[in-house]
Order: sequence, then C-alpha cells, then structure tokens
Amino acid sequence: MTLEQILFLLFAAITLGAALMVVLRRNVFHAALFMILSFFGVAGLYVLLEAPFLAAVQLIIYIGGIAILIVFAIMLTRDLMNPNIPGAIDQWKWAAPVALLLCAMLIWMALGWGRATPAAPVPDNSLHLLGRTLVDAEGLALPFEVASVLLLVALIGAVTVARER
Amino acid sequence: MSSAYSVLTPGQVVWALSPELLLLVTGLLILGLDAVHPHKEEKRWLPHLALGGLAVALLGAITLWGCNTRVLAVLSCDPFALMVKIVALVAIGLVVLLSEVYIERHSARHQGEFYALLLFSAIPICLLGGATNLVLIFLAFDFLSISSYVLTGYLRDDPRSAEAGVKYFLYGAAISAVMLFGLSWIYGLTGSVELGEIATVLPKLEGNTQNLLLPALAFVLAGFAFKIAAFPFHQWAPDAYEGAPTPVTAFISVGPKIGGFAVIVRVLLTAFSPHTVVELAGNWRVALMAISILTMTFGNLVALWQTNIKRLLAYSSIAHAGYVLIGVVAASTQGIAAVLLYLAAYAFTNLGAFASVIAFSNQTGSDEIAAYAGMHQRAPGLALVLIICLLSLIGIPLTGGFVGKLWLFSAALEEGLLALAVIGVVNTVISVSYYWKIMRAMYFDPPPTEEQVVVSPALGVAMGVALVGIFALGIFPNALLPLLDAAARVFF
Repeated sequence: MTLEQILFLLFAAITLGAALMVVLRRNVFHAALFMILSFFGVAGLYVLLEAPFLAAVQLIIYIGGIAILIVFAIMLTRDLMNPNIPGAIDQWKWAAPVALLLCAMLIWMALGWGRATPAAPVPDNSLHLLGRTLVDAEGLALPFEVASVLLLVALIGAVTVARER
Repeated sequence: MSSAYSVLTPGQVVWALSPELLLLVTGLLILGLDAVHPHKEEKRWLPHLALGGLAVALLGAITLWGCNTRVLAVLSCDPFALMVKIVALVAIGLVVLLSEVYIERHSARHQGEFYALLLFSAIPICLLGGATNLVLIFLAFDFLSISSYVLTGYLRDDPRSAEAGVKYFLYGAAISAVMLFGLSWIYGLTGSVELGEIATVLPKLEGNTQNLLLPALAFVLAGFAFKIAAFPFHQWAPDAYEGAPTPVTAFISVGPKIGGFAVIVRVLLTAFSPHTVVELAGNWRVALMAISILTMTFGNLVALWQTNIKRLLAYSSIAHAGYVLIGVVAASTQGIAAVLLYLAAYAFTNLGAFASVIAFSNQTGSDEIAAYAGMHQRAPGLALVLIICLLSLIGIPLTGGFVGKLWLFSAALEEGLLALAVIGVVNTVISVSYYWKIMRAMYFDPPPTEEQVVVSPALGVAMGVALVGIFALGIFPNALLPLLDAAARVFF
C-alpha cells in the first residue's frame, strides 16, 4: 500500500466518520464541530487530488467562513442547545432502511463496475485554467454571473426573512 | 458543440439575454424605488412597474422568435426556450396582478422586496428554458428554489407562512444536494457538463458504465420531480401551498412547474435521447411512466378528502404534474408540443382559479370550501370564473385544459402507451368529484350572509386574461400548432 493510499483512507475515514457524528450527535454544537472536522477531511482529499487551490478554498470558505457562521448562529439562538427539546427523530425508523438500501445499491453498483477511472493528468496551471474558464465566453461566464445574481437574491431573501417586525 | 454555431457579437448576446436582463434591472429598480419611497401610498405603482418590466421582457422574448443559436456556450436560444419564457413571463405577470391587493393588505411595508423577488424568480425559469449546461441548470434550479422559499415564508409574522417556508426550504435543500450528487456522477462518467457533449459521449461508453448512469439519473430525476411536485417528492407541496400567502401559492403552483418541465424535457431528450441511448432511455421512460401514474392517482385520490381550497388545489396541481409527464414519457414531437400547450393552459387555468380564491378570501378571510357556500348569490361573476377554471382543470371541451389533455393522451396513444392514456382518463373522471364539491358549495348551498363580494380591478384584469387564455387555447389551439411544433422539433 502506497503512502498516498494510506493518506486517502485516513482522510476518507475522517470525512465519513465526522459526517456520521454530525448526524448522530444530539447536541447541535457538537454536530457543528464535527462538521468542521468533516470539511477538513474533504480538504485533505483535495490535496491528494492535486487541487491545492480547492483545498485552500475549502479551508478558508467552508471552515473559516461557513462553519464559523453556523457556530455563531447556534450560540446566538436561544434554547437551541436545550437538551429537553424533542428532536424530530420518530421518522428515523422509516428513513434508516431507505438510506441503507440506497447505500447498499450504490456500493453494489460501484463493485459491479469493478475498476477505477484512469486519473486524468493534472494540468500544471490548473488555477490559471480555472480562472480563465470562469470568465471565458466559451466557458462558464454565464453561470458565473448567474451565481452572483443568485447570491444577491439570497442576500435580499435573508434580509426579508430576518427583517424587523 | 459550440463550434457548430457562429459566435455572437456582444450586442447579440445582450439581445439574446434581454428577457433575463430586463427582469433583473426592473427588480433592482423596484428595490431602489421602494427604499426611497417609504410611504404606503407611493408604493401603489410598484406592481405596475413590475408589470411593465415583465411586458418589456416578454416583448424581448417575442422579438427573439426564430433564433436558433447558442448564447455564451451554455444557453440555447431556440423556439422551445422562447416558448417556455413566454409562458413563464405571462404567468408571472398574472401572479403580480393577483398579488396587488393581498400584499398591500398583509405586508404593506415590504411590498418592494416582494415584487423584486417575484421578478427575480422569473429569471431562473427563463434560464431553465434554454440551459444546456449542467452547471447552469443546477444554479438556475437553486436560484428558483431560494426565491420560492423566501416568497413562501414571506408573511413572517404568520406562523403558517413561516412554517411552510421552513418546510419547503429543508426539503428543497436536501433534495438539491441529492441532485447535485447525481449531476457529479454524470460529469464523472462522461467528462462533460454540456448536454450536447454528454449525448455524443454516452453511446460510446461501455455497457456497465452506462448502468452506473442509472442511479445518477435517478438522483437527478428526484431533484426534477421535487420541482414539479411529483410523487414521491411531493410531500412539501400541500403544507407549502396552504401556508404560503395565496398569491405565492399561485406562483409555486405554476412557476417552478414550468421551469422543472422545461429542464426535464431538455436534459432527457438532449443528453439521454431515445435515439442515441436506447436502453438508458427505455429505463427513464419506464421510471417516468411509473412516476406519472403514481403522481396523478395519488394527487387525485388525496384531493378527494380536502376541505381547504388551497390544499385541494395543491393536490390537484400534483395530479396535473402527473398528466404533463405523460407527454414527456411519449418523447415525441407531439408529446412535447402537448407538454407546452398543457403547461400554458394549466398556467392560465390555475392562476384564474387562484384569482377567484384570492378575491374571495380578501372579503371573507377564509380558504375553507364550506365558506364558498352560496357564492353565486354573493358574487355571480366570481363564481362563474371559478367554475370555468375548474371545468378547464377537469378538461371539458372548449377550454384549454381539454385540448391539453386531448393532445397528451393522443401523444401517448400514438406511441403505443395505451395503459398510460387509459389511466389518465380514469384519473380525469376521479378529479370531477372533488372539483364538483366546490361547484356544489357555490351553487347549491345556502349563503351564510347576503354580503356581496367586491373584486379589485387588478384581480378582475387577471381573471379576464386567464379566461381569454383558457378559451383561446381551447377554441383555436391549431393557431398555435406551428409554433408548438417548431418548439418541439428542437429535440427531434
């Protein structure tokens, strides 16, 4: 087993284990902390895929921005960490078999396929290409602009939802 | 694929994107004007501005008719896309008319954001009509979802509206993650996010790689089914419909469905066309057939027990998504033309029905069917409009609903889908009984008071437009045939 494979298994275990804990922990605050750990595992996977820029974005935006925002939201919401609040858990009996079935099906299909896609060569200037694609008229210029309008609408929506009474 | 099209000049790109750009500019203008005019009286003309913006955007879409090209490599400007835009813009215009009195009454201080969000939500529907790139499709999908969530929970102080918004949001957020997972599989297996390129790569893939596309496609279809509220991804619909402000209910019963069906048709018939990948296409057709049958049967059966008219119309709209899916399963020129015609007829009909529901609840404050007792004495015109809309929803001759159903069922028969057509007809018969419940209350039950129901001018105009649409599509559908045929031929 190569070092790369060991690292992959490690990061994959961190990502999935932490993700599982996010779902299983009753305490929302702990769940948020496990989510940060899961994000960290994903960043590790990006490094292994030779996408350092994505790894950095994952660390800065997801852990540095989003996760911290979630932690703030939890701490600023009254009563959210009260253990006496009943969780909506009576549905899990139905959800669990469906989720397990789906998981089994996916694993079965992946095993049936039986081989990995040959890794595409990583271009030297992947960051350069990424930047180019986002503003290239033949690339993703329009989706890039739509994303900015989407963020504007999300912002207006957030203000509308959280406005003063 | 993009090389097959000539490169557009910047001016042509702006022209091709004019409907979306005009909607964006009008929305921003409304927000700005709303901020500098704090007084209630000055906000009266915000809806008129919104209507003006929609009219100009509609004009832009109409002037583009006949264009058949690719805009910025990710958006197709073709008759199908333009047809979707035209239907969507007319529908949103009707929703603005429905909103005027309701929003002024329930949220007088925050009218600007409402109309701005309504216009913004038309942008992704227009984009979904022509999007040929999975990235753009996903963005437009989420764009439409986010504006719909906010609109659903718009009356924040009304717990039902807030609850509906949260339910819709949680359900939608989960399903859009599932859909994205499926899209990532498609990208991983084909190496492309461009529908045209996926179509050329797919037939060359080995058999077992094609099999891996099945779960991927299932995840993506789950996302699409959520958008059109098809079984079993419909659970959000009844609660969201009942809790949302009624004009928003009208919007989410029509807007997301138009966008959802546009993208279902384009993705399935471009990338997974029955002409290129026979086996895979056979699989999704069987899956959609099952969804179609379950959706219409479930929607119609549960609608039988409803006592709240908004909830009843929610289940009825689930059933209608099932009918429209018949045209997609047929996957023929006729089928797609029928899908477009049905969506247009359904938009006019449902918005007409909601116009009368809003006019009625503005007066009585109730959405219970029992409250409609003796409505024909209190508001004969209103009762008549609602009857005509219900008859069109059933599919009685001379209405758009009839022609839509006729086209859908005959498209199914043409493709040898006899069982699907028969189940559609049986469902139509079932649906008569719950629509009849409303008619009976209005015409045969004694009214609790003699008080007349007053209809605001905006709602009157909306009903007028809806009726003209219903009868125009019902009596002269053949005038539209060449346009619908051109739109459907984009895929064949």
